[in-house]
Amino acid sequence: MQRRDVLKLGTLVMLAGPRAFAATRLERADVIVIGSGGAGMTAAITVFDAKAKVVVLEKMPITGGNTQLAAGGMNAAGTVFQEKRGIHDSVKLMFDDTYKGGKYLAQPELVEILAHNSSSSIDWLTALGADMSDVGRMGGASVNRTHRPAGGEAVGHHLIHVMRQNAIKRGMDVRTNAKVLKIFETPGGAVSGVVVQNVLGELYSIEAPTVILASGGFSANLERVAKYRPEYAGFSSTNQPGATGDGLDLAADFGAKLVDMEQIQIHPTQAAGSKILITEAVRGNGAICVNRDGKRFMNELTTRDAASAAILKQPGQSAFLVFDEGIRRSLKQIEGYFHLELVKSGKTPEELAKAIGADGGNLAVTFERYNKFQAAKKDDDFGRPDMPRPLKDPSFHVIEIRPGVHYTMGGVAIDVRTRVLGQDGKAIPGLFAAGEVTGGVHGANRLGGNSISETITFGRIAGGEALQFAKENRPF
Amino acid sequence: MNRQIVRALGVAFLFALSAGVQAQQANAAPGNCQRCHDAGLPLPETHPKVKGASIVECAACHASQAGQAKPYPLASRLHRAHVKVALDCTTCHAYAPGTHFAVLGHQGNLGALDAEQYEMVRKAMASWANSPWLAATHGNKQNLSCGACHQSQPIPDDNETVVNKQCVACHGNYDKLASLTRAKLKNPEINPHSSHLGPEIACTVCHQGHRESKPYCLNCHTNFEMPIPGAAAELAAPAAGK
Repeated sequence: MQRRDVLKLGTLVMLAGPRAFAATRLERADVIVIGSGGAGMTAAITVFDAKAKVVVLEKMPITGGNTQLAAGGMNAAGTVFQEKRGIHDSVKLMFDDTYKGGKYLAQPELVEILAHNSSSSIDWLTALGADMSDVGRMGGASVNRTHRPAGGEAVGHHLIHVMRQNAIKRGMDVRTNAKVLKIFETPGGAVSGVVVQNVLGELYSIEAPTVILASGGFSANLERVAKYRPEYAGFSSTNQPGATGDGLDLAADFGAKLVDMEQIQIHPTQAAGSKILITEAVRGNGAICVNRDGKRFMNELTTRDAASAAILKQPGQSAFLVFDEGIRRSLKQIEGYFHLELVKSGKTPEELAKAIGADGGNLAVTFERYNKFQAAKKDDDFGRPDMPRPLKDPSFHVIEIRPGVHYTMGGVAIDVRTRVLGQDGKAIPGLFAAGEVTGGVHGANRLGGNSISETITFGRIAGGEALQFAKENRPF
Repeated sequence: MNRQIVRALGVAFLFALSAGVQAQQANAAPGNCQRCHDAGLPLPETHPKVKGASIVECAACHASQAGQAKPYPLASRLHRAHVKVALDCTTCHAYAPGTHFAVLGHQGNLGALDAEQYEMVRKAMASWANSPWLAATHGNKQNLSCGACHQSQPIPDDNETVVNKQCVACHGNYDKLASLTRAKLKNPEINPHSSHLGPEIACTVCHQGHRESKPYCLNCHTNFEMPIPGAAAELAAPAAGK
């Protein structure tokens, strides 16, 4: 918050609490949703369809939050789409994968909610007009359960488009450039409304008995990341610029308890000098990883945290993803990296080495050695379990990569009804939260495909719970 | 008790301000066009000699016509010419914070602006007459007045709905703009009007009338070369002596 806002807000609050705004502009709603990513829009649609008045407040000039950048998919167990493909999955299996993936640090009752409701969340999205009919697999899953649009569209792009269109069709009140500066409380400690800063920098207030925090994580707030994890200082972020964690401050000001804040996920392959994430599928489809000496240094298919740690040990704390025309052809997304001018190329390993300032002889040897392992289906150096393609089809290409801050597992503590918990562990009346702003669903590590799943499932619950609370506690 | 003190201070502040306004009016002979223009200040060659002593008489020709730039819109000609030479609003307007804003010598009250809103309007007018930003491009090159973009809603809502609708009305939708932009792109695959952020986003995400414009893409795609009109950060100083 700017100093000026604080002073102004302070004066207004000192005068008469939220009513000080009545002279200029005071609005009322049943439910206020802070944030317009997957969780916020899901909660808002749920409330709106129950014929209650809901206002979505998004501080950025565009809606969609970090959800719109999600490229993987949505994990769900026991869905109609899995059944069609003969995939045998269960709530128990999804729970086990998620709990284990998070190193047993997550709140088991929240993991249970995630797994148990995932299939109905897929149905909910389908009813909204989304296509989640394709099923693939991401790291840490025992079976194929990552749902995504057929035809290769990125999941977040698709879902946000569907949600925006649903909001437009319904005539919902979704406001961009609207930053919540404070959540007001009643003398009894319950939610009573919010102060909003509008596009001109002016303040107005909305009175409401419930607020749903769906304001996302704080991966784009590198100062805050470094506060919890000093070793990540100087990293860049893969997130949209609004993922600064303001919602955590709003909640903390209200007395909410924060959990697992130091649990921050690093993604190993962010394109160096940019914010662009290079999808894991590039390695999955055959790319190798070399350092500045032109040498491999790890099993490229290891977990995100291990790969990040290995890259950080290399000279310059970065590395190079190397692939050939065969691998390029195998994955549509790679073409995008060429469009974004992130790729350097050479006709031979020596020429490629020149492009990245590596030793040409070393890189040629690395290619030869890897291709031998690939043919024998056994990586004697690093034990890479899967080598689907050799590196032999020129031209050859590299993308320089370094680890980037990707996801914050911690956040406000919630119960299974998405009620925000105070320091004493008791639910704060009228305050709900869903999505990345919450902590406890993923534990120490989030599996790919579980974030979208969380936003939809917990967004639906938060919408329903806030609605119920608002009906019982309407002050007007 | 606190509240009473704050209110008393507020009223004192209002008096101080209006006293200041009155003092200023006395010095600058506000509202009297003849004083300045008879003393040699230029008007367009085709402009008849200023006879009236009051701004009210100018308004007979320079009538405000919402959203139109013809034939003699108050905003486009009269306002811009004066704001361009950095004259303050109170040269022609009577202003009392929070209660009164009017044309000097005219009975009607145009509205109640608090000090902050007054400053906002002043800056908006200044940037429309004299800035490297889009408001000035629309004003100076196209002779457009405020209403052309803002219609009858001077204070935009959070989504800047009206302004964005007007952008599309004149410039076309994203499909049209994407094809226009494509011809100018170094890399045809990177088109700001056809991006992964979707067709629903507002024009004002990147294009701003009263402050610098910045492509939203650059928040993440820091390596893009993406020129945009109105990108200069600073408000240009008014040209001296003109």
